[in-house]
Amino acid sequence: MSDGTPTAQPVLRVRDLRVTFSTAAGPAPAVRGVSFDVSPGEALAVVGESGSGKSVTMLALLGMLPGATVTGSAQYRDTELVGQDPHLLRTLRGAKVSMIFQDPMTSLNPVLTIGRQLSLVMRAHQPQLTKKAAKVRAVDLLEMVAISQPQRRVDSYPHELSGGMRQRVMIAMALANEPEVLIADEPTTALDVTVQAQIMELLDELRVQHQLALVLITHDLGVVAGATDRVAVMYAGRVVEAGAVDAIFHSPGHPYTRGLLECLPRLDTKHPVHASIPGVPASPTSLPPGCPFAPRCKYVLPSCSQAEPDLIPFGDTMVACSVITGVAGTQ
Amino acid sequence: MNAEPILRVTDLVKEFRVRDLGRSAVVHAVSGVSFHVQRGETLALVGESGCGKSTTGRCILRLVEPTSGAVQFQGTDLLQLDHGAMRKMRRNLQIVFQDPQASLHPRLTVRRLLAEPLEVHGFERAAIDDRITELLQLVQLRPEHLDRYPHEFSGGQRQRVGIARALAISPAMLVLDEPVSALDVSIQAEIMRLLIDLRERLGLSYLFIAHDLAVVRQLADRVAVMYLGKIVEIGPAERVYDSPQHPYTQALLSAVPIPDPEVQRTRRRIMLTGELPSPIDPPSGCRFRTRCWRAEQRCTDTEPVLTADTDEHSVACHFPGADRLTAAEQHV
Repeated sequence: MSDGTPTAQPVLRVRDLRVTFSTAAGPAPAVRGVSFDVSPGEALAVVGESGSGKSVTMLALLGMLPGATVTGSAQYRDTELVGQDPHLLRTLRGAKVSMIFQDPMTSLNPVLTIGRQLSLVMRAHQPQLTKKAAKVRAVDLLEMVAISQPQRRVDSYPHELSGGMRQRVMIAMALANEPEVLIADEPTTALDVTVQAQIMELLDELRVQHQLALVLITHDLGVVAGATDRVAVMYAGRVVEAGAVDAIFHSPGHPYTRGLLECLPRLDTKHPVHASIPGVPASPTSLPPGCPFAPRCKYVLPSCSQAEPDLIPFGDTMVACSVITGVAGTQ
Repeated sequence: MNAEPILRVTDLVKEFRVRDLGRSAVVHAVSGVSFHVQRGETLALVGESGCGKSTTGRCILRLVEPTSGAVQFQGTDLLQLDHGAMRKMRRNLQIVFQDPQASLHPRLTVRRLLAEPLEVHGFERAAIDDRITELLQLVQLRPEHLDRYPHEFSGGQRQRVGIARALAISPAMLVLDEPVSALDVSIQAEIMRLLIDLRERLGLSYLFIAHDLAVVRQLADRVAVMYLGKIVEIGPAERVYDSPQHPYTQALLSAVPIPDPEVQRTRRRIMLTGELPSPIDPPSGCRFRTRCWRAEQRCTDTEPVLTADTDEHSVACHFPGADRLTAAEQHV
């Protein structure tokens, strides 16, 4: 039985990552001890609602949050990323570890052709590449992400492309320097559902072809079901449940994961969703004592407000809940 | 279904004049849309960005002036009314928008937001206070919420305020324009339940405009699927979901992810190729033909019209039929 633990050597290894912002309302711990691994060719989904810390985790490990305090460890192969020299991070970012974002329109430069932007990305990391060679490679990249008439499109400006095509361009840019890790932050959230299906299929093909380690950040469990091997569910800056995708969907342990799954409307049934999670997601500036999910949890016990539970193996997954894992009864 | 429908839209057209590359051009946003909604019924208008579903909703309330067509609401053609008469009619026909953050005035308290429509429609002071209390109960907000401002609420609570405001003057029908799209999943379900509950309790009719087909399925009696300004398929929800006849409906349904890894791995999916054509220059004949795997010469030459089979299920396609992709089969 596979528990979804990767067998290959992880290419990205994150341990106890913590990110704190200082705000007018005091320190805001947005990420509070997140750990995960991703191996070549594997897809990990990081799932959570707005404010759960899923995007902040990724931005922090890439050194893209200069104002925040970041501790813990994030290793790309043998290189430690946390606290690393910004110059060295810059040589890795966009080269070995790439990221794509939700809204391609705000990530692309509106006044440069997409060919020029692809060329800039390549030449930043490969100075020996001539402009001419870069343009040839740009056309190849556009072809790789299934953009029709790549010879013509390479001279287009972002506004001349549809949303789906722009996201394909972003993927081409992210893959331009043949990265080993691709972090995709809500890559299809701004897209229509038929376009979403195309983009997810493209990411899947590229992952297999190039043995990419893919980290998919999303709020959409439907997308996760078809596209990933393992899932980490985040709440209030921590991973509250992690495991193989089938286990997460078929035998979830954490009350939050169960609640999220019960809330989902399904295309294949007309019955109204009867479950919901009361209250609103916890805010980093006003975390309750103990388990941050306790105020919204239907299984809550008085002991839940005393200590924050650790992520421990339970059933088919890893779960951070003292009620479900039975720790509460033994203490 | 013999009773006079509460809303009947006939051959609705909306064209926007724009300048495209320095030349004057016409965007064909809605191109001859017809449908009706029975009393107490929910019709869902679904489709992807740019299909004209929201413009259709806005034309019905005349928030956007339609180019031509007829909108019969409770027997009156709304497009023939002057401003004063239209305002009176809106007492019975209200709209809820996607983003309550944008549609609620940020500097008015909930009390003021709810009182405003009542004042506009001439309610007495005392009656207004009673009605506000009633409205709060209807949408399950608490009295202490009355003196708060929109920004003090969560997204779900704000949408409750938006719904309460639309219900203030007891309309018979609501146009719901993507009412849950901006909300987190855990909040969506609550608002959907509220809408179902209000429909039962108040006998409301809904025109529910949405892009999320899984959400729509929970409350739609009938579904109309739009593509590039036209309805391509319309019928009872079960028929459209379980045996879609139009190739676009089939592609759209097959693209919606189902939150179950086993189902998702074994499902047959139709990948649409190509891009959505421009509404400035829509394809001749069938507007879907440029992306359709069944298209033949006839689809270029002649536009297919919506044709009903039994059970009021209509399809605008020269080659309609099952593609072995019903929701039930997807499970096998």
